[in-house]
Amino acid sequence: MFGKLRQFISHESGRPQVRFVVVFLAISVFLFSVYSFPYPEGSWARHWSDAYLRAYAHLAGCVLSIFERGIVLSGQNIVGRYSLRIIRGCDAVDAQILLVAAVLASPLHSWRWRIGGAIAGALLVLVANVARICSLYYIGLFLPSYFDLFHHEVWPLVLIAFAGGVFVLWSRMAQGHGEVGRAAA
Amino acid sequence: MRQPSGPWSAFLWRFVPLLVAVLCPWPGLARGFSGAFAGVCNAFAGVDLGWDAEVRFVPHASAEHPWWVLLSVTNVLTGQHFSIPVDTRTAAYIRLAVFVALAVALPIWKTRRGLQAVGVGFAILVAVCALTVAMPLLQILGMVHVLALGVRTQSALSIGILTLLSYPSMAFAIPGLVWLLTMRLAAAPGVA
Repeated sequence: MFGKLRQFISHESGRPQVRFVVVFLAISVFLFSVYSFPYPEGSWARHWSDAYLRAYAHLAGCVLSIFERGIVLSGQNIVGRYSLRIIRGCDAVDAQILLVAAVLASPLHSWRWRIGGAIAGALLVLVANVARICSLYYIGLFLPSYFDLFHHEVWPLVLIAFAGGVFVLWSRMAQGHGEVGRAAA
Repeated sequence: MRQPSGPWSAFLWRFVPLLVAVLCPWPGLARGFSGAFAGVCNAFAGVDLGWDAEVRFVPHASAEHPWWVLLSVTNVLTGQHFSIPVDTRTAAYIRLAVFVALAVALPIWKTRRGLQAVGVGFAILVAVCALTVAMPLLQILGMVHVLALGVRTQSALSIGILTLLSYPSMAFAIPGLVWLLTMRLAAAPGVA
């Protein structure tokens, strides 16, 4: 049974697209499970998760303070003329997980390209998400009636489209560098 | 500078206006969809599964949240009751609308195999929407002690609810991924 599974997951199956879907789903489920697990209060994982969100808030707040005076950072809160709180899901982790899973599951590229692409892709999504948070601050300040629209629909769509675009770009770059097929060798 | 390829450009010119049109808050759309959503869910909730529970989906009658449906569960033996709002726009409408916009913009359904693939894709999407509603329902059934849920099951439900319902980008990612699968099914020899 495990031999068949290994053959299926490996490149010998001759069905790279099916393999891609299975590995993509497996990595996505694993990463979403690790990130979204309801860790108990006081656990190291909860501490780490909260610290990550505080760091995210500080990063976005520092960028925002370039354009806006009087920004105060308090834990996961960005306080200024408008206030934002960074919680789980505000960190674009969904787009990052899907992008990383797609890059790592891609069977036609070498591991060097896959790991590099996953790291670079996650960083690019992070940059886009910081831009999202900064834009939401100003939308909340000047166009408060449009905040929910941009928060729940426009920016999530943009982030997913961006992640998809990064994946396509990465695939083309890997092809351009002759990385296609090496992983199977 | 490299020009965007023709088919992609044509696709985007069709898809983007369609997406904007289907996502616009047309008058009556929210109440109509949430009412239909509640009706379908109540039809399934009426199936007797032997649970000592009364499950009801009631459209939220407020102007502030016209897309909300109140999911209400009562343990008929103990009288324990719990209800939560379900945002039908996030849980179902956006997903179905994005899929329909993709299907209209890229009419792979014009061939027999394509039509079957779109049908399979749509069924998968509806199943994911059903799962999105079923998970909070199961969690509430556990909370009112109709079902005895273990720690692992509760953790799995929490992960599923966060992933499928709470992360906003998933409302767009799920129909996009299902559409890619649909295109693959339409192209695959021997499938459909």
